[in-house]
Amino acid sequence: MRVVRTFWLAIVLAWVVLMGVAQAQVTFTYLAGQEIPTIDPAKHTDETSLHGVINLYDPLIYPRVSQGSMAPGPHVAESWRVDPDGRTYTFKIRRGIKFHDGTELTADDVVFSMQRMLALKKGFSWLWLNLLDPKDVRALDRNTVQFRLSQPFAPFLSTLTQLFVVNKKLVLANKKAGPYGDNGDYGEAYLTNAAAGSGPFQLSSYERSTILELKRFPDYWRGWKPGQIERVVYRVVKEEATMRTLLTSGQADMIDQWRTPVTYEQLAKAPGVVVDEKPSAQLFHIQMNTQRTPLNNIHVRKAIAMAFDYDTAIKQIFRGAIQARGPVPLAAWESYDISSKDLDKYGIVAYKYDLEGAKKELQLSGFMPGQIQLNYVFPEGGNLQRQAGLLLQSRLNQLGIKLNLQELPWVRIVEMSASEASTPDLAAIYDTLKYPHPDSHTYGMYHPSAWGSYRTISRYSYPVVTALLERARRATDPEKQMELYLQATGLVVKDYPSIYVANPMHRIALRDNVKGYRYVGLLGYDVAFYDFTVSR
Amino acid sequence: MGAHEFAIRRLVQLVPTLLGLLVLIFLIARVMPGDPVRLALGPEATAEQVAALRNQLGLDQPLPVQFINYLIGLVRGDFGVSLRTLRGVGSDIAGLLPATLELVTVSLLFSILLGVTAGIFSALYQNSWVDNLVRLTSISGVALPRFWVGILFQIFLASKLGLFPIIGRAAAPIHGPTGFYTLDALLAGNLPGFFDSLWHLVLPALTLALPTAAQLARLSRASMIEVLRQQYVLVHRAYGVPTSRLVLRYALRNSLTSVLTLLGLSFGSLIENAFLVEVVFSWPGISAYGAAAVLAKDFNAVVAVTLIVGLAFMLANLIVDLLYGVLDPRVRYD
Repeated sequence: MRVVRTFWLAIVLAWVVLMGVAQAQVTFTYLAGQEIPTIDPAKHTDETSLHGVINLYDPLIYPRVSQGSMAPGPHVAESWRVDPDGRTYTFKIRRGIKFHDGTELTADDVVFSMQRMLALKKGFSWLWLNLLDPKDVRALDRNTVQFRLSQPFAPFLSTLTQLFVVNKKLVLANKKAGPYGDNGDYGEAYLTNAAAGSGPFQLSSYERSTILELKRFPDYWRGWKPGQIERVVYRVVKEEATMRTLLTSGQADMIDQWRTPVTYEQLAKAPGVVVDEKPSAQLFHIQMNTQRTPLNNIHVRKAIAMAFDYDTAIKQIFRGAIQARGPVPLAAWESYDISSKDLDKYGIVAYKYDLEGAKKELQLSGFMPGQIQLNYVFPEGGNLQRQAGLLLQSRLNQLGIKLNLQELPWVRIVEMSASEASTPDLAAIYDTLKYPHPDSHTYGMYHPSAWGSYRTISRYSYPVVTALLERARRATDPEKQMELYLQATGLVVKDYPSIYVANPMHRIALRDNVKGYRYVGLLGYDVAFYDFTVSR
Repeated sequence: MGAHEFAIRRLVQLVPTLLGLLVLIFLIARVMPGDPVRLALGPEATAEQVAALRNQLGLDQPLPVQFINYLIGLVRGDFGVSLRTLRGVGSDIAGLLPATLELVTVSLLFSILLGVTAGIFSALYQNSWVDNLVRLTSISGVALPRFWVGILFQIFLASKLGLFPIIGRAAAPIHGPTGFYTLDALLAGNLPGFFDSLWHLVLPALTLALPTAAQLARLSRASMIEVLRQQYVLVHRAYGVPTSRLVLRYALRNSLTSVLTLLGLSFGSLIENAFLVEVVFSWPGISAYGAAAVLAKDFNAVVAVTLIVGLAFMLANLIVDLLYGVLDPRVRYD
């Protein structure tokens, strides 16, 4: 009898222990609405791929997320030096970082990773293709890397948040025949379904259209604390209603940022769910082609900008967004400690709706009501862009300006922007920071060398601004650099090349037992699972 | 002409039909507006990057050359590279097709089971409450959008009652030679895996099956009513043959001809319509892949998916034509 009792007691104890272990393992389920096209750190461009890459690999430079900033901070590079010429960057590589196969990360791996990006010409390689020659990326010793740029480029450090370090030895051991000489295919085939990183998580399984499963890398160099995630299930769920059902029923912990505002409003009311809201590092603006009559007349541009009803747009179309102050999203300025007062000082202010003022500006322009007819293009399916267009159309009618709305495939808008002849009059564009630096939305939008992109439909050119932006890129003193960007931005704002409408809200829905989520405005970096803790 | 000869002749006829379909879809896919290479690389891609990928994929060559290259590749079983996934379309499809075929096959079984059974009862109890209920339900089945029904199933049967999983094919992937999770689990003797994948199949398959089942119910009801009015049925009734035997042994077989035609057409259209169900239930199938390919102007994938759906239509109709002869010996193959 006693034996039987002991047996059952042992069974119950074993069950309790097993359940305890099962409970203790923290699994996190994230739902994304789009597929995960790639987990190769030389190919990623979109958010879901970036999520995979950020969790599997370590970037050379990491944004200072824990300080609420997107400014560059140390990571694989523990320190760096910029030479006075603004072209030579020397990085000290942190010792003791291990790849998932146990080999140590060295300067050689960093050089290999950058050269691989430049050779494959995919993903974020466009950031460096015109700036770096593969031979100008060198390992000075086991823990020192040097990059010599072809020209000064102030935001270079910020762009390195997109340089993820791959395990050279592992990649070359798995290379296949390819067009890159001794490097074969540079491991392109291998890294399609495998990972060669040193990030906090190792790859368990990956199926681009359905799932990415990750497990904790025990030897991760930053160490682990209790409550951090051990296993990640990153699922692709394309139907919004399904996402809602999974999150509210507790079968998922977080859903992505691409749902409609109404969905987040509903989710915020669901028990156990919270919605994190912050202004995004994104600009919604209506670009005006400054090279074409009548938009080459500043009074016409100013009249159009003054005829836009900003309050209505913010309240009814962009629901809770903040009004843009010039081209650079406020979150980007804030990351470099630039306050609203600083922006005021340089004339970087929000435009105001003033229909009477607009009429006066139109009189000054020399154009009569009824003389102006313009096209407004927006991407297919862009409902908010359509609504903003209708709002502008209704107000411009009162000025006697006819606005024709044209919905076009996104690729068509990109193609039209390539040449001056086909660039539209006005275009409604969402523009996210391309790298965490004001340069993205100043030089990248208002320097004539950038013309030909959907980002430069305004085709703005003002020699003073051009010179300021060039000086800013060359400046090595961070304070002087920011001052030059502020001066250039202030001049741009006064010239009305765009109707700067909004920095829309970034929203994400998560279970209330998830802690550590922090959005600083940089795409993808808010979903670094290492930062999260979950209490079950 | 015998059934074998007929089948071979029809199979040979498939070749020019597929070739015609290929020419048509190849041209349509390539004249769609927008540059698919730029779309694939993203708007920030430099002109150099775009040119490099265009060259790599042979898209800088004249259209006739591209077509001939594609045809040569196709003969070798190479469907080209997907612009969206940057992988071979063949391997993409090989990974996704079994999931869709499994879903569609089970849906078809559900459709037959629900539709034909409901049709028979409706015909037997014509104008009774059973008949009215079947007619009302079948109208709803055709009218209600699949994705909406799927979402309702998820909310009530899966989330609220917890009877079924909300999404996915199985708790853990099941690997095997067929790619059908249920079959592979059985072949590996993995009974928990078999029941788990079957459990995951119920809601998506039922959602996909409902409109077809509704159509089958209406059609089999009409056919059965017509057959039940035939003189040979009346004679059997007069001889006292039990209704169940009369229906299952004589009437059903004769009423199935029109049902079979609908089934043939349904198989192809189920693959096509599986898109919304695959999206709602996160089912990794070829229909959702095809829809995503159209949006991304991924023309190699569009061509391949269209060819596969076309082939499925043709084969299903060939099988139906052959089955006519099995059901009705008077049918001649010519």
